[in-house]
Amino acid sequence: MVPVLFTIAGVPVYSYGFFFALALLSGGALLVAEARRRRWPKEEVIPITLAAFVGGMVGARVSILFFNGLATARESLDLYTFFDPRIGPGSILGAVAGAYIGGYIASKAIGKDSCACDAFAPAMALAMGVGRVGAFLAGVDGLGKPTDLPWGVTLPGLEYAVHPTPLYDAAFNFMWLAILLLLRDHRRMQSGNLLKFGLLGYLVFRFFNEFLRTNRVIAIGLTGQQFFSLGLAIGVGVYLLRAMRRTTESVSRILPI
Amino acid sequence: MIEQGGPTPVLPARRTIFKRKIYETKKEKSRDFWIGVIGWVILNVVLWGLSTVLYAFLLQYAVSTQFDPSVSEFFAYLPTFSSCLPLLINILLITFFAFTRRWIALGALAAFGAAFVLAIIAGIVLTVACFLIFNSAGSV
Repeated sequence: MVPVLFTIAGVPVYSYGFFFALALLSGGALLVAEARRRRWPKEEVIPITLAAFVGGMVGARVSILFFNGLATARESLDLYTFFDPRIGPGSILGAVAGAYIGGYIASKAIGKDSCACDAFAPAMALAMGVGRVGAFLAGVDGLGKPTDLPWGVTLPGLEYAVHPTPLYDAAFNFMWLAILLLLRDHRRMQSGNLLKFGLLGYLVFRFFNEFLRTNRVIAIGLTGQQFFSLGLAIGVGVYLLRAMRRTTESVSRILPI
Repeated sequence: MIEQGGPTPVLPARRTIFKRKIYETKKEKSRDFWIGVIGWVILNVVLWGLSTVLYAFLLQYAVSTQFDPSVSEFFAYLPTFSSCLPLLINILLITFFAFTRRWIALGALAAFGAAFVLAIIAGIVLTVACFLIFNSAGSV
C-alpha cells in the first residue's frame, strides 16, 4: 500500500485525497467534453452539474448514518463537518443518489421536461474508477475478506491476504465506461436512459462486490450498502424500463421502425 | 451523434404555489447571483453560531439528565439531531429559490460547491482515508 504518494517540502500528498481530487477533475473534464459533443447548452449544464455536485457531496455524508448507525450521526448530519477535509467524503452510493436527486431538482427548476443528463453517465464511471485506485493505494475502506487467490493483497498488520475490492470496483468502472461510451449514441439510450443504465450497472455490480467486502452487516447477512444498492437498483430499473418504452414509442412515431 | 442542445423542451406552464421571477436583464441575474453567494455565506456563519450554542445547551441538558429515569432517552439524541438543522435549512432554502428566484439558488449553490472544492483541495494533504473516524469498520 502507498498511503502517501509523495511529499512536497515535507508535506505529504495522500493517495486517497489526491485520487479523490483527480477523480472529480477527470470526471468533470469528460462531462464538459460530452456536454459539448451533445451541444448541451451551458445554461443547463452549469446549474444541473452544480446541483449534482453539491447533492452528491451531501448525499455521501448523510448516507453514512444509514450504513454505520447512530454513532456517526454527528458527522453525518452536521453540515459544518462536511467541509472538514480530515474526515473524508463518505459513501459513493450516497453520493450517486444525492447527485441524482440534486440534478433532478435542478432540471425541474429549469423547466426541462426530458432529461439531458446522459453526459453524466460516462463521467461518473470514470470518476468512480479513478477514485477507487486511491482507496486501494490508501489501503483503507475495509479492503476485503481473506482470500487465497493469487491477486490477494496483504495489508500492514495482517498475516493473510485479502480481496483488493477497490481494484475490482475500479476495473468494473473502467470497463463500464467503455460500454457506456459505445452505447451513448444508441437511440434507446437517450433522454436520461444512459444515465439510468449506467447507475443500474454499478448498483448491480456493487451489490455482488459487497459480498467480498467487510462492511457492517445489518440484517439477513446483507450490509447496509447492499440494501441501499438493491432498493436503488429496483427503483432505477423500473424507471429505466418505463422510460425506454416511452423513448421507443416516441421514436417509432417519428421514424417507422 | 445525438444532440441535446437546440430548443429546450420546456414544461408547460403550471399553476404553482411559488411565483417564479422572470429575469429580463443580465444585471438582474448578476444581482441575484451575488445575493445568493453572499447570502449563503452570511446565513451559514449565523447558523453555525446558533447551532453551536444550541448543541452545547442541549448537550449540557442531556448530560445533566442522563441518569434521571423520568427523562426520556430521546433527549440524549437531541443534541446530535439538532445539528442537522443547518443542513435542512440550506436544502429547503436552495430548493425554494430554485423554483422562485433561480439565480439566487445558483449563487448559493456556487458558494456551497466552492466550499466543497476548497475542502477537496485541502484533502490532498489532509485526507488520509475515507470517513477516517470510522474507517476500521469500512464505510463506503
